[in-house]
Amino acid sequence: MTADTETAGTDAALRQRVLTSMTAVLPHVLRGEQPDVSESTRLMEDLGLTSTSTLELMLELEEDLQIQIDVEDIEPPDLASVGTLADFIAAHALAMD
Amino acid sequence: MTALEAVAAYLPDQRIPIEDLAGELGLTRMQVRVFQRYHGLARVCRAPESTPLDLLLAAAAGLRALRGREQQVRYVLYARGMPVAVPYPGNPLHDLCRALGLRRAAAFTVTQQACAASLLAVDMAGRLLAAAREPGALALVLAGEKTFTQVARIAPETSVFAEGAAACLVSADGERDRLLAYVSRSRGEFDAGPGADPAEQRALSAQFQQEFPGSLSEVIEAAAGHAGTSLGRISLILPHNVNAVSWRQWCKAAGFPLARVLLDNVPAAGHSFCADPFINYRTAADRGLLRQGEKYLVAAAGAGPGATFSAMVFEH
Repeated sequence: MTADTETAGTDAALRQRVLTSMTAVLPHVLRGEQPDVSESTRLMEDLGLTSTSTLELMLELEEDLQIQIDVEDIEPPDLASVGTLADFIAAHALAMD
Repeated sequence: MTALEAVAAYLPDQRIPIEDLAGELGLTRMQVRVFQRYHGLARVCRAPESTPLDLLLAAAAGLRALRGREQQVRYVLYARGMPVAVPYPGNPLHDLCRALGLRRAAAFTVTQQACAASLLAVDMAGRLLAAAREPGALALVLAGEKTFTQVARIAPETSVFAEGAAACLVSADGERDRLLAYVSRSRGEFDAGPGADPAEQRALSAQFQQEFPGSLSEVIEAAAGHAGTSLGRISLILPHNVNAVSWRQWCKAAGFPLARVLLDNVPAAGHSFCADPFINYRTAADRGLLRQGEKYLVAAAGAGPGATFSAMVFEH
């Protein structure tokens, strides 16, 4: 497996794929709940995710999108909402060939 | 001045990949991956056939400086994260004193500071010896616990516990590894109390995680200041091995180089309760990472109930 940095900044197309994928994988992370989400949905306050279950969400997204996310730089503000998490992932994704 | 005469560590040979513990710990495949990818945990030491006494004796066996000086040991302090070691009337600490021939020692357990209790025990040992004013008197500080119960196996979303042990021989006025400063803060506000509802527990847990880097920085910088130095001049930090991410975040916030925090035992051995800082001391000493005259810092934090943040500065 090799990995290449997809973009230096935020990749708009990937960001959209992340948002679409979130709708698919959130029920799994939320143990069956099917939430209505928008970019402004807050991960912890609105969806009840913890910092660790947010990381689970990222790993689910990795599998769904066949990408690898560099999680070392993640900061609490990146976990604020669906939109901020999509921003982070689109800027820290490594595509897997 | 309190000093470490000798430090020994015991890590059981058996290192279990945390994915093999998923069933026992009640972890999903993704939760295991979070521990591996984000928290930096991979394997934990376990010694299924060993008793708590076996662990402590294995660590103490490495203290060659103790041999022939058993009658000089006035105090034996057992630092524990979990308050109870074995069911009554068992007492591994007193069994250890008998096994090692420490007949003159007053032996007791130091607890209620979670995984920071071993730092308190070292400081307390030095103070007791200084007060006793007995030439040549020594104290033995021990740490190391079994993962008998579910709460002793996993700190949810934080760490997986392991069964390493450490033993330190402490003197009141030694030349090696002199204790220059000790700072500890107990934070009762992180204790939700018995019967607290889950939402309150989650809120306190989130608050603890949020305040962790700043609270740790406060004790670390205070300890460096009391030792007459600054954080930037600390040659090495010997941490508790709770996980790698909390130290990564702290280093980033504090501007301290991650390479100067000894994290190698986090993936290799896991989090051995109070024993980590002294297990890491042994690793650092064996690798030649502690140099004469340099100041290094030992740090630990623990939660439940309440929280404690502690740091010590030693001169090697």
